[in-house]
Amino acid sequence: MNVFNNRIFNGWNEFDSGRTHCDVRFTHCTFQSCSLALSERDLAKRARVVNAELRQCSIAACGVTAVVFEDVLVDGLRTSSLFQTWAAVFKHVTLKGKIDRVMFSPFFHPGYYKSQFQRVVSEANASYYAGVDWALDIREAEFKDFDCRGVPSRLVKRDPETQIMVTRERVLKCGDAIRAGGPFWESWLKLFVEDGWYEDGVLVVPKRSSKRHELAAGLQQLRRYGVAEVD
Amino acid sequence: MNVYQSVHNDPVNHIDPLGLETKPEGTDSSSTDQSFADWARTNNVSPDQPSISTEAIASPQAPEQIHYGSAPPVAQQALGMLVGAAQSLKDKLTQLAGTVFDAGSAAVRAASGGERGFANGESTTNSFFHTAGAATEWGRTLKAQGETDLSVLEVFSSAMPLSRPVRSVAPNLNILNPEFTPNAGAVVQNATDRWAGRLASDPALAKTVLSPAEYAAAQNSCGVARMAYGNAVERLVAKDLQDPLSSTLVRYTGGSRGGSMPDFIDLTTGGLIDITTPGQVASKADKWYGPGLVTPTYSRPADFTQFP
Repeated sequence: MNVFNNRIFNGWNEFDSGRTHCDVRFTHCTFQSCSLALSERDLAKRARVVNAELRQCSIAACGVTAVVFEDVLVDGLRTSSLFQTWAAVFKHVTLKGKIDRVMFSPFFHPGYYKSQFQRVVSEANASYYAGVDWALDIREAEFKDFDCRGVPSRLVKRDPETQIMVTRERVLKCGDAIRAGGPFWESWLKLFVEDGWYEDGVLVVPKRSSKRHELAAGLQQLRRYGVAEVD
Repeated sequence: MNVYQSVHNDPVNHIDPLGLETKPEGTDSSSTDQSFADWARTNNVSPDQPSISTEAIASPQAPEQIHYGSAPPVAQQALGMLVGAAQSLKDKLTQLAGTVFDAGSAAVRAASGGERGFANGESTTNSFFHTAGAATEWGRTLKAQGETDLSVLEVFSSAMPLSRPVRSVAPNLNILNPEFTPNAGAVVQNATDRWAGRLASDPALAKTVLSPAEYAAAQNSCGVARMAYGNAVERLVAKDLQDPLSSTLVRYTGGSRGGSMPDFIDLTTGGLIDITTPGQVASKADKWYGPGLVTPTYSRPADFTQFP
């Protein structure tokens, strides 16, 4: 495994390469304005990141689209604003330590989430997850904000105290019980139900938020009222 | 119709391809990784890569892998062929250009934003090994580096005069109008118009780029909603410009590093671009990055107060 320490990668752009990057560890590195992305509408050109580690790295204004991540460890991650991945898939990816603000989106392009190619991407990603035993392990992650969309919740290893799984089917049946967790989770669940973009989701208490205790208590209320899936 | 073709995925390279310019002041903490550069252009490059089939995406092993630290013999052999071809192309480019690489231009400083105090702005490119790009390191000199080490990296750069656009020396480019000069500010403005319009007609689009926490906050406060609206426009524009061609014109910075960063850098001129509302243009101009700032603007719908 090759190791890079205290490096700054600025403007490293790789589009449509179809390459696999493996056996690499980045420690205390900064990625600024980098892209690892699929641009053309050809899934054969997806990039892969395999057997990689990012430890205590920073990431700012980077684009990650339709990348396949496998056997990846992220231990501590500083982000500038909200770090978003688009239509990426994960297998055996562990997030742990202090991680700032991360959003995994199922969309190839957020502005064209109803496009025909989005359906192709969604089908390909669903096919990928069909052969995955677990996708994400977030049990030891301390997020500021974490939004995990498009990753099947059953494939996410969770800390049951602060991370619960919900399904649209169950939430729709719960009616006003979704208010039990407080306004934040109520808003979250309403968006989840209204959008109809995915069938299940993971609610994650941002452990680095000043409201973490209140939000964790809210999750337990949702569990008590049957909104959360049974672990 | 104006059509141009990029010959590299980062035009900063056209100005200071090897990162030989003096390191700008205020960038002590900046560096790029020489070992990474070596890796990128030598040991682990496999020029002849088979494409990955759709089926392969779902399989545990992809047909082509880049191992960080080992050098497949086949890759080395192929690289040797590539370097030979690159040297030949370099000679041709040198003849066409009629000049040699001169790292003395100060243009890179303006282009990189170094005089403006960017922490990372001086870095030239890590355009990877698709063509010739690699990470570069400030402080290296052409002489110190030596001819052999420059190899592939040099081919697209050393023959090019700093003050001349790359298209004037590169042969066989598919250019319909060679006088066309891309306007990064206009590109960002067009994208801003497009996505601000889309967002105005479909506010729910914001859900695709805002986290639930951000969106929820924007449902409860008008002030937060205005900020979130701007964030949504910026992220949609940034995502839209994340493609090989646009990446040669503008670089998204995220805007928030240290508080006072523009949203984009114009890679062709070194100018700064910050998306804002018409009412904020004046105050943006008074920020530390000062005059010359290009401010693509968008307007929120008059009746917008909060997200639905």
